[in-house]
Amino acid sequence: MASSTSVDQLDIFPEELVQGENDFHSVTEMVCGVLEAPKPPKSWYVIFTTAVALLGVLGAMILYLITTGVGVWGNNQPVAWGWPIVNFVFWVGIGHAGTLISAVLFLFRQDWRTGINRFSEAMTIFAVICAGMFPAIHVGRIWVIWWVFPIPNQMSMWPNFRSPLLWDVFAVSTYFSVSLLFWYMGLVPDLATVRDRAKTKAKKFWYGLFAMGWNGSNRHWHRYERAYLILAALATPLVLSVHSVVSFDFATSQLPGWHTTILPPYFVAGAIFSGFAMVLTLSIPARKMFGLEELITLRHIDNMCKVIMATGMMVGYAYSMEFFMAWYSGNAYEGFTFVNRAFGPYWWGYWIMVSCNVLTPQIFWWKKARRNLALVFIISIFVNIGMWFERFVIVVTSLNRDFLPSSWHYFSPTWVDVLTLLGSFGLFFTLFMLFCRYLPQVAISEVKNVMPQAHPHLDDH
Amino acid sequence: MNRSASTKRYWRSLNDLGQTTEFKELMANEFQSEPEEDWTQTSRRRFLQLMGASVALATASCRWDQEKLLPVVSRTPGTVPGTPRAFATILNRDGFAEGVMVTSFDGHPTKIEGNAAHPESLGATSATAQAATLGLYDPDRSRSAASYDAGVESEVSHSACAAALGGIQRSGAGAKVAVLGEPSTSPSLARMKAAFLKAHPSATWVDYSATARNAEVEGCRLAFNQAARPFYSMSNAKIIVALDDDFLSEGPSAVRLTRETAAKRKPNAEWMSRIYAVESNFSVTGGFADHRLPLRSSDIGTFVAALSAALSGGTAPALHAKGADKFLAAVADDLKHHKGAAVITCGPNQPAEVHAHVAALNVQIGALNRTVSYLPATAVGSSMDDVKALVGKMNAGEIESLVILGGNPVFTMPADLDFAAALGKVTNSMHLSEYRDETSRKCSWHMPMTHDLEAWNDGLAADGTRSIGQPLIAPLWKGKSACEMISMMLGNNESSLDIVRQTAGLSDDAWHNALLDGMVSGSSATALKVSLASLPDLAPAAEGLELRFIPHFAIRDGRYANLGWLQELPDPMSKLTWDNAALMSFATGERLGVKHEGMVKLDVNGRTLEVAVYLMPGHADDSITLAYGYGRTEAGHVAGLNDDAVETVGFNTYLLRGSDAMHVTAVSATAASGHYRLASTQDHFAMDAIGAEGTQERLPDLVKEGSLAEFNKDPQFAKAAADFWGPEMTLWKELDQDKVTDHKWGMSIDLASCTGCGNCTIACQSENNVAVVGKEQVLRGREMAWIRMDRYFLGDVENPTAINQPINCAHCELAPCENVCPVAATTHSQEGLNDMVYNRCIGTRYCANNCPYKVRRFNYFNFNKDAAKEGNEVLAMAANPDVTVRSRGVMEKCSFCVQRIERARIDTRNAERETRIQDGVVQVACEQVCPADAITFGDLLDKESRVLKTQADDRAYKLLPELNHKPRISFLARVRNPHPSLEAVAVSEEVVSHG
Repeated sequence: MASSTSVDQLDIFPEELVQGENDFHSVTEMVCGVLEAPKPPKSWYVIFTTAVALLGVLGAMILYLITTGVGVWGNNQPVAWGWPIVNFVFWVGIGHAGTLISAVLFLFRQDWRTGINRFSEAMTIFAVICAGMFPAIHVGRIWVIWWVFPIPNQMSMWPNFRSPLLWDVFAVSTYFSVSLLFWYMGLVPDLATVRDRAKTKAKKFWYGLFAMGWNGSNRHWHRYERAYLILAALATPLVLSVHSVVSFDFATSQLPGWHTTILPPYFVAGAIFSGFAMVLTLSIPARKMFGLEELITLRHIDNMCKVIMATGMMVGYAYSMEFFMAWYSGNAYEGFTFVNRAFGPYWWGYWIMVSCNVLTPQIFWWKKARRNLALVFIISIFVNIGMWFERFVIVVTSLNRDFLPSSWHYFSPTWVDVLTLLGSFGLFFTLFMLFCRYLPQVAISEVKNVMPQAHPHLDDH
Repeated sequence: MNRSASTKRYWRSLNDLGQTTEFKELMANEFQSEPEEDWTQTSRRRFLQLMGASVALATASCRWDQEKLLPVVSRTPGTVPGTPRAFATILNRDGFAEGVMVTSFDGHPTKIEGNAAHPESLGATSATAQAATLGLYDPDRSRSAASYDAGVESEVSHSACAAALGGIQRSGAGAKVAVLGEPSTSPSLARMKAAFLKAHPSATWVDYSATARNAEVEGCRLAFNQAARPFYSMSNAKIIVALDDDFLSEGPSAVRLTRETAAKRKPNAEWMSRIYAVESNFSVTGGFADHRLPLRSSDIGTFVAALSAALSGGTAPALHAKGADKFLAAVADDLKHHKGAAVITCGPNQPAEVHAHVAALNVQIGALNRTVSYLPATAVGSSMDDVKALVGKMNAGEIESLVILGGNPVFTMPADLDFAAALGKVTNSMHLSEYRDETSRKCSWHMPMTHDLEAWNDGLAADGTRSIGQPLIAPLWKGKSACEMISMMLGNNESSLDIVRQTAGLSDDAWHNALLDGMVSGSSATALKVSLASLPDLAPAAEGLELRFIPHFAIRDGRYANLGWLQELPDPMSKLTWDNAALMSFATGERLGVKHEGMVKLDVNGRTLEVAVYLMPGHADDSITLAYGYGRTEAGHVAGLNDDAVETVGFNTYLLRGSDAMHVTAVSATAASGHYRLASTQDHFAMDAIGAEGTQERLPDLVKEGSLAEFNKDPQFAKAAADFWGPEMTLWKELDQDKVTDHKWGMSIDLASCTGCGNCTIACQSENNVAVVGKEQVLRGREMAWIRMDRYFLGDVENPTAINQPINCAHCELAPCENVCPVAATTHSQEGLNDMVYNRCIGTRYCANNCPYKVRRFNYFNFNKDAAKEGNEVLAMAANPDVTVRSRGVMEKCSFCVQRIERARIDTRNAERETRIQDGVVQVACEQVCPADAITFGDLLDKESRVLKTQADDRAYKLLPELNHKPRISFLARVRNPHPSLEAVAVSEEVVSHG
């Protein structure tokens, strides 16, 4: 195994996507070694046990919620949507990075995506699972939640297609299914690799089953690449549409602070912003833990930081535009909402949001900062904290003080709210740790594609 | 029975069949794996035999319980099972009769309405009357007689308890017998009392009530040498001056006075009244007044003297309150110019001398028999001297038998008398009471008392009308009424019907009419002829901090503490629920060093109590108002029950109240440590500057008011630009309103009439089975009221004005809630109702988010769990059978009483075979109960409907019309009639931080 490098490369030649003295075989060894190691690293156990414990907490909280009622949360009148919806938007937003890396960057032929796309696509799927859970459990009567699906029934009732919540149902389920398909399809050649290297009968069977008889023939590769391109093309609009639809939950309502056309692009930018931050939060420790530093290099980290900066500035622009429009519109309710956000009873949430989202990523203007792993890791966490608070500020402050002052009421979360959010992280990390242990974290075939060895006749190599 | 050996025999009966050999063989052969017969070869006869056997087997094996169902051959006339009927009756309100009409479903009462024919009801009721059904079905009511021996309770039979009264019967002159009752106007009770005192001349009989309004009677005695009560008539009053008198909310005539006063507040009528209020605490009347002066109760006497001087010359004493001089000058000016059309009222907290002087002033301004008359005093309690004498006798051990008829003297008696200790010295005491309350537990015996709705009773209304009350249901727990109890004490066993019938002394026809009407028509009292006597001097005003004791507006003296509806009904001005608090001004709070929701220790002559603090805008300085009725320890599972570790609700003000000063007393107050969360439905937390500013900015658009001058200049001052916009484009295909032919339901609410009393909230709760959520949930903001009363303060915190606005679902034609429900659980009916379909709702709560009025209420928990608990089954009877009880997880909101609309539709079709429901047939619950007649509901397609006229009124405006959801409710702007010399407080002024 090559040692990790943290030395700046000269910019004369674009930095190598795969660092160290690596060839096809060593790449395979690096990635499959993680799965095939008899025991995962100790840190894996630590994280996995914590995650499973939190998952248990989540289960308990959901059980308590369903048996007792939505009142166990802090929701009230007028703040009928509280942490669960904030969490929903938070998790769905995080998922967007994976799809962007997988699909959009693929169409834009950004080769550096190959080191992280498997990883981030998995993150997307798990994030969407966490996200999808929240709207399901936040309803008052979960035992009839199936009524939101357009299933022919004895009541002759369709759901109400005018409702943004229903568009959510379609958007998120489409997102989940397309992402899952895309991810799985990309996994097939790698699963075949693992299958071929498998030493035990069980491993051979299971990996073989999911590898679907891949034999690496030209025909298979041809179909694979075609299908990959089609799915990438299908998934690309989802990056923009899914979070736009989620933003419609708010944008199509009448509430000042929600009812604004800036919400769709603002949400999408924010989603990519938080998603990339989460990819960084996950990949920086993971590459160390599982010895993948040569595949997930500083160049990858660098690029991701640049994306964070760009989307962070878009988000910052959106914040200032909201304020401007609130003033320019002359609408007293709109103007009040924004002044209230910044200086009212939830001012602390607002300023956490601004400092985490707008101020902290500015440090990435400096290359040294982008390459400082500890700093990047910390900033990525701040970004996600900031993005959670952004959704909190949007949902809670707009509801808390709307048109009639008589209905204004402070919202405060309960311990069930807090534990449910923590529990959702437990769900996410449980799935993610299982992924890290049992599935190839890096897209082996795709990485090989961008190594110099894959293009022997190009470059002056 | 002949049996032949031949198998070919028809069987004549199943018994027959059972005896055939064939059959026996068949039975023996239980498992016929190989058929004995080849079915294809069977003859028809054989087949029938075998089939018959199966039938026999079947019938032989199936035995079910035999029940005899006998249909009613002739139904009770006028009843159709499942349809409601209405009966007139009365409810007790501080000793006076409140005429009501009660809706009864299949023999049990479910809803209280006003009695439109009754002169003191005029179709409306008080808030406490609305809770009467809940009181009737309270599971905590006593269900049997009990005896107490050294604090140990044992259930006993009625007869055992009744036998204990034998001692009284045999007591001869009755020197050792005492009866403690409550002041009442009931002629039957008076007759029974007289009969008892005739039989036992030496017995002591004292009537005590914590809420007795005796000062005004004393005042009349001082002024006119006659015991009388003032009877106000606001229909002729152009100028009303209320001195420490919340006449719109307190007192037996509150409902009628509200109607009369509100009727004279229309700016486009011939004349509009002007109302002045001088008071300490901000009351409903103070909120309704055109001008209000915060003044300590103790200073009212000085005000009266100053007013007298202003009217008739003489030196006026100095008034130290800010703005008082200007105020007084305006009042005097108005009174001078409206002789004969003005009235001054005086509240029950004022001492008799002040009442006397006010009576004199009324005579002076020509109010006598124009706006105020004096009726014979009724429901006068015993004097405090008599009460003390009784307690003295009890303490001396001179009383062997004491019967307490109703009330709760251990809880409500003045603290210095220590009634509980005195009761301990009585050999044999019995308490007739609906609950096993604080008093019952200290007595030897407890007898359950009938609820007003369970017994025959009678009473006089405030105007003297003889009112008869019939029971709506047989006593649930075999209780006795007070009259029946006295009859028992006399050794008779008359029923309440006999007693009341005999007292009434009416012919059969007249009796029948009295029952139909709930009263004897035209029996109101005649005004007394009065002439002024020489008045005593007014005592100089007591300086320093004063403490005012007032009955809680809903809980009263504590008797209704266990009724959740009344606990959760927000106080009209403070919006407090589930607690009482020491109300004081901001300045006083600052001086004492206490904060809002902090604690203060009050000390009255050595008796102390730590109470939570509520800083009330507009409260007079150096004055603390504290409502009594809270702090009960044996009320029940709602308000406090020591036995079951149910926490006591509120603070026990009676610990401070002494016999020497029952209304206003000097007090010393020191700040105490601790923070006490007060559940207020509005102002849930102290408003910050941003919030206050935001409220100020938008209130002129939301709750519109203007002065009479503004109205005269531009009658349409309240209309916003958006009110004039034509139809706007929408995304969705709208219901073509031109094609609607049946009905177009709409509502208007006249803010000029609305006093903010909140009766609409509780009436709706009763009608629509709205749940009580409890203090914790109110603190979280989850109260379930379908119609709420919003109250805003305008102006500086020392002397603001207040304005009210009832908010319920506006049933918008383009409802923002309907679009966003993912499962189409809220839809629009052809007639314009926004229908909430409970069984389709999955509870995403998006509809609540999108409602700009925030009228939608979500069932965060199962708030009806209590009714399912063992022993609480009776609670279910309080529910309106026509309305679904909602489960956990569904949204609910005002439905424009759709059940009433549907019933009216059925009745109209059945009766007249036409489908148009006439105007006025459907009265929604809030509209029906409103004493001010502020709410009008009806069909906007009906050219003759009242609501069409009110919605077309100049003052009509819609709330937030610019959102283009086309609400069906119009508000009519409030118009104030300020005196030219006093500032007309315009709505655009600065708003106080308690917005």
